Amino acid sequence: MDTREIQKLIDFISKSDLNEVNIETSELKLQIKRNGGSPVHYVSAPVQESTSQAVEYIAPSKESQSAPAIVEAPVVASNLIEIKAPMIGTFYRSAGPGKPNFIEVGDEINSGKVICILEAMKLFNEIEAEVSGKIVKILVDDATPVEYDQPLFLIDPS
Amino acid sequence: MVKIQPKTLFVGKNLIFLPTCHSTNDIAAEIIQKSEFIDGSVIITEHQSAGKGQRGNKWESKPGENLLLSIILKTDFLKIQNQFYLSICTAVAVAEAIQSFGYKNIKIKWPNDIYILEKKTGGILIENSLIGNKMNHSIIGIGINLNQKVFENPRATSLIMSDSNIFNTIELLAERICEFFESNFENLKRNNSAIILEKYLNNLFGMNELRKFIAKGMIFEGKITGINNAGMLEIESDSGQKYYDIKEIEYLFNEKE
Repeated sequence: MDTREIQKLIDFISKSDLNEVNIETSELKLQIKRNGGSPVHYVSAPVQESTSQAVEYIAPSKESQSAPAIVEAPVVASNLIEIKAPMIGTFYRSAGPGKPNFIEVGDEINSGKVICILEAMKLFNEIEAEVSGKIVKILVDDATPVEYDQPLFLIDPS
Repeated sequence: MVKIQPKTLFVGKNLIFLPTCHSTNDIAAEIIQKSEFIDGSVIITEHQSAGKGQRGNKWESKPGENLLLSIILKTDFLKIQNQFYLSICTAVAVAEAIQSFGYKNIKIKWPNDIYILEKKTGGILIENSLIGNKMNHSIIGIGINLNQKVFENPRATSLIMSDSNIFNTIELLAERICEFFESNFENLKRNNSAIILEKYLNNLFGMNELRKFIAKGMIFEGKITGINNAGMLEIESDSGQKYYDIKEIEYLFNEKE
């Protein structure tokens, strides 16, 4: 499937009533979601350069290894950036119970802003954003486990 | 006033003493935010008004009786997947520092609590800062019950309660911790993590001893036989060898202590 075909597909879906479409073939995995009322589409894995450096990771997770590799498709319908989990752990949106969330949907953030905490084995990791932009979507619920490389936030850098 | 002169190259050379503060880890975070921090800076207080344990848990300590400190470190040399070694390194340093005064039965309870027999005398809280997928700096918070004699928590104890004949002060203990920490941290920097891991396992509470645990609501007997790279606890029982994450396993304690 080439870029033009993907674009045609997105156009087709955006005119339909479908909220979410997942297509998986031997060559690629495509996920298109309609976000709230706004026609936001994204293609999985628009990896930024900074996070694309290979990290050798000795995770005890069998799931992530057996999961089908997501074929990196070029960004098509939008220029949204995914911020992914740099490690396995529990995702927290605030510094502690009763504390305000680091960020909310719609917030404009600058690179260097703390966006979440990932906790693993009692080590608490504050994650700083490497990009500036507007938070479009928070993809993970507070206090839930995340896998390595799992998308956490969608950011519009424009 | 607390003054320390540790025999170190950098850990504790820059000391920030506050008679009272929120929590030394929070002060450390403020210092890092304000400007370039000095690697190995140590913050000590005699009283924390909002002492932190794990996420929302409080660390209770009577003013002036215990050691409360945080160390700020550059940890950009460390790979994210090896960050549990920071925990190992700190726990080993604290256990070695306490043992160096002559206290007996000091153990590290997985992952990083300090125990005397079946009771807790010290805790460690580590907060890392990551930029994207790289470690940047770390704040190592250490709390040790030193001279406190009364605790609300029946499972807490202090060094003085374990041996009141040993002369010890907040300053002396802080200096030793800085010294032992620096030595272990240097090993981590030089990739000698096997040495630190060996010391960790040698000091691990319950290592190779048959004791009771709870997993998935069931009590079972097993032996701790080690940890894996991610820091998960390895337990051998009738059902074989298994690895446990923190929330998956609980220790059963001897209540008559």
